[in-house]
Amino acid sequence: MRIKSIVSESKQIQRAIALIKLGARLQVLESETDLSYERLLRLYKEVQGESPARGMLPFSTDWFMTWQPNIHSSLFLNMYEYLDKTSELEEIDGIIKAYELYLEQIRAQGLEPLLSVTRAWRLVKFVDAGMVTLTSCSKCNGKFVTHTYELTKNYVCGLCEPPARAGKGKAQVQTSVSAVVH
Amino acid sequence: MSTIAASNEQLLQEIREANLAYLVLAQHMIRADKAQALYRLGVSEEVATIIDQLSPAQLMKIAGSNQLILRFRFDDDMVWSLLTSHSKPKSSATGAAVAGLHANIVMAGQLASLAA
Repeated sequence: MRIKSIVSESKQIQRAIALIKLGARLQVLESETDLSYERLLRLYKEVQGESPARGMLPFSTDWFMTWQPNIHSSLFLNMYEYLDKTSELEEIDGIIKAYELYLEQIRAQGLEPLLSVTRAWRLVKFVDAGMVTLTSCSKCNGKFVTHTYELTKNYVCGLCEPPARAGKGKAQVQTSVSAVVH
Repeated sequence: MSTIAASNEQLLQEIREANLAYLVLAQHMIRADKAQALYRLGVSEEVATIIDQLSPAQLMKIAGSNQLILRFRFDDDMVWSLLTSHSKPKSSATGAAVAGLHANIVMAGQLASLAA
């Protein structure tokens, strides 16, 4: 696609750099900027010093519903919705800013981020598509990521009532974080 | 009498300092990244714009009060108990961290519904 304005091109490059630094996959960049594949590839190598990961993006909504990922996803999505409501941002800028806030918060708690920026982006797209939504927990009133058409009348979140095996696989989860972030 | 006045004077001094530190920090955050500052501060965009435009003299004037200009952004037991992890003594340190995230989620949700 041809880009007419140099100003807009420079803005797009800045955006792409921010996303690459946060660890976004190339597909995210292709979808969110008008820059050509070749330029994005060069930019990626320049910023990260290595070629981007290959392969398809994770496409299932189920990952967001499992216990720990659901907590992380809910935190991110709450932040994103807040930014989206209070500021007039383009969607991708909102995702970048909310993701930065998410990383800060997770690190402040001494945890490893389970949600990659690619997954965060995916999550917002799932919300746009009406496949997932935020539902209020009937106990704590916090809002959590759920499937859109789930029965939500007496929904109780995974933090008020953790599943029996919650946190048991923690050691495994924590060490496989690098595998999750892609 | 004089000792009461002196301790009061010190209290007022500390309130002024807290107010000023808060306003300067808020202004700094708003200028660095307004959208993120709205989340961190929990204020509306209108208020953020006003704080952004305050001159140093105005900051001093607003700070010099006998009231704190900031207050708690949550006032329900739920958030408090999550923050202090009084609810359930969880087995591990991860339990405490998860309770922290729980508080974050509840607070962020409350913020968003206030902004709506």
